[in-house]
Amino acid sequence: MAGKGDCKAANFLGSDATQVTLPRRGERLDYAAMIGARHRRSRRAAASLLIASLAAAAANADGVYDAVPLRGKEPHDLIETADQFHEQFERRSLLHADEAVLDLVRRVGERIAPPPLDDYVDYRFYVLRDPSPNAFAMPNGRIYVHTGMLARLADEAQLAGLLGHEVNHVAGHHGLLQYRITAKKILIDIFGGSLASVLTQLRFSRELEQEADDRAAALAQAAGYDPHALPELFDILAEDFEGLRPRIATIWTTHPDPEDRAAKSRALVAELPSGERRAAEYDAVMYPLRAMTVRDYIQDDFPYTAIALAQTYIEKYPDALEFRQLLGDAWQKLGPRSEFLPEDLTNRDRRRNLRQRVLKTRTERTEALLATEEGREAFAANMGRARSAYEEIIALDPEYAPAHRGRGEVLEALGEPREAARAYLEYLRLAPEATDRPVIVARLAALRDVLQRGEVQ
Amino acid sequence: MRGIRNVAAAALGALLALAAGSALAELHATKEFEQGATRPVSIALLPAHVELVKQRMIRREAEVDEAGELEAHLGAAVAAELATRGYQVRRLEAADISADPELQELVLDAERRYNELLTNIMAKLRKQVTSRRYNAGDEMRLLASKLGVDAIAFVRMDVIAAAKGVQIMNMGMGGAQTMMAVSLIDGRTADIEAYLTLPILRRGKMFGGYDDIMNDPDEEMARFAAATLGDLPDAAPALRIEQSDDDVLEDLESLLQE
Repeated sequence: MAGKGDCKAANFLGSDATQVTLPRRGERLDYAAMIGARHRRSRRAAASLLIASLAAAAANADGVYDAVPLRGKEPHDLIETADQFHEQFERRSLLHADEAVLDLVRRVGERIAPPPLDDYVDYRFYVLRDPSPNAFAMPNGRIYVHTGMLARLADEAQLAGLLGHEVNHVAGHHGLLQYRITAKKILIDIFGGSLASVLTQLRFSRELEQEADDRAAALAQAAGYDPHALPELFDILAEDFEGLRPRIATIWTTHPDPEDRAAKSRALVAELPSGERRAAEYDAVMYPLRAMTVRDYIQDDFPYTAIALAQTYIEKYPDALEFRQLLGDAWQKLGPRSEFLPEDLTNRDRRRNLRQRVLKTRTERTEALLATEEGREAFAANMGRARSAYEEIIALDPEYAPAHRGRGEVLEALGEPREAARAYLEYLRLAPEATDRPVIVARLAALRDVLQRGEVQ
Repeated sequence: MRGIRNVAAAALGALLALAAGSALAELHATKEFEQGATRPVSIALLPAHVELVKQRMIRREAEVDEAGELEAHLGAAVAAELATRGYQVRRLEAADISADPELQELVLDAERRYNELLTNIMAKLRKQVTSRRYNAGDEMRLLASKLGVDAIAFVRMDVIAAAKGVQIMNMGMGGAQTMMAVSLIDGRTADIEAYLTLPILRRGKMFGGYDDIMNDPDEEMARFAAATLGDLPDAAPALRIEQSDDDVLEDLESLLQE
């Protein structure tokens, strides 16, 4: 989402390296002095204290930060702009409207958020329709979680850890802090401190992220949630099913490395007692959103992610044919791509994969792979897996229409037009009002042409 | 070095000022679109997306509110321009989309798919639209079907508006730089059948600077729309080739029985 940096949104995953300025070599960052706030203890001291007496600190988490009044252009640049972004999300129809999902997110958010101390902060929780696993907070207390993030979380405790992180960005005035530092240090940028400035900005951003991580466990635990869920969040962020995320030296990133975050937060919560997880209710509410997310990954051509998620959800919802269907669809989408182990990929491989996605269309990438022996073998294997998935569903429930559509697609791809047409017709018979009827009819038209040509020959 | 760049920019600006607006626009279309077979009669126009960035002395700032205002004007201007060419335009508003969850899903799927294609187009040759390189897949077919239209239109505009100080630094050449693109995607083939763009960054007063755009967005957006769509041929319902679903199904049933 372009431009969010202007109103200093703090996000969970981190891709925006354009914020913050603070170049002063060798100087320890004094956040409190920078924003004119009086922190009751330094970040490092707070982290240490948290280990020793996390529950006590969390119970009074709202006391960690003081109120910081806005001045000058800040109400416009931070608060009004945050409101404008919200309006843009509305204009782009990006706000997810499933009331059950919204209720759950709001309930968990309100349970962990401390009463705001600033008159410009009002905690509100929203879900954005985006399959990428991310979340972010605005300085006015609006917190947005992507559908793709909610789909990947396992329970309410993980959601509490995530929202705790974002709430801490707001309560700690991280957006305001970055805004003020940028304004103060702007002249240094003009006169050539660029590289040092950028590196210090990035380090500063990472320290704020670490601070939000450290205090998230405290907030979650104070609300009764299991703080051990926090490191699991970073395990989720570290997943790269597609092999598209080259490792970048931490010095160049706005966020700490997810594996480091996981290790640090594991150490932080190691001695703490467990709390509530509430997985069953979470699973029930998130079912449609999870199915939607797997469909998104298939449509957006991220089949490895779709396969991984579908397999997880089949275990969670063993009676739901929908996820078996989606697994078949994901195998089909994988097409001529081979399975791989992420740890076997080099950084060069990941960069090449990323470049290919930008430079070549899906069709071109598929055709290039099909021109190789390995690609053809992978294609046959993946189509076989997809076909098996559909046929297993049909064996369980012959009236389950989407499985016939999927089977038709596989047969069409394998060059069996007559059987493919039969499967499609069966699909239309079982689901005459299907929304994708025009798509299927178009495919049938193409198959008709193939069959007619075959008869002429 | 900066001096040389400014002189070059001034020369380019002068050249641009001599050229007619529409002459700089590009139309890349498939042969079938040119001939009329896939040229739509009815078009669903999705909400325009405008990214407006204010280039200040030190940093760039996204002007979200103003971009939203421009989106409304640009959508209206493109709709009017298409209508004058005989197309039946159904302009989708955000409120319509959000009110219908199924439509919202289809629109968001189509938007993501189009953005992916636009990345490919921007990275490679837009001229390859003519060879049907860019296919938007089933997402677009489903949306067109749901809306009952022949084609879906996407409108994108990027404006980088220079603040006064930057204009002074650039010897008065920094008005607004704008790129605009309109894509027409056929509801049956899902190919980008026509891609119309003003690919050159406009400077100076030719299309108005930032202040002009914001003072009279109606007028300025109308000029951009007219320039970008200048080469779009008129709708030609008589040339469009249609086939009913029933014909296809009947043909197939008999083929399979044989």
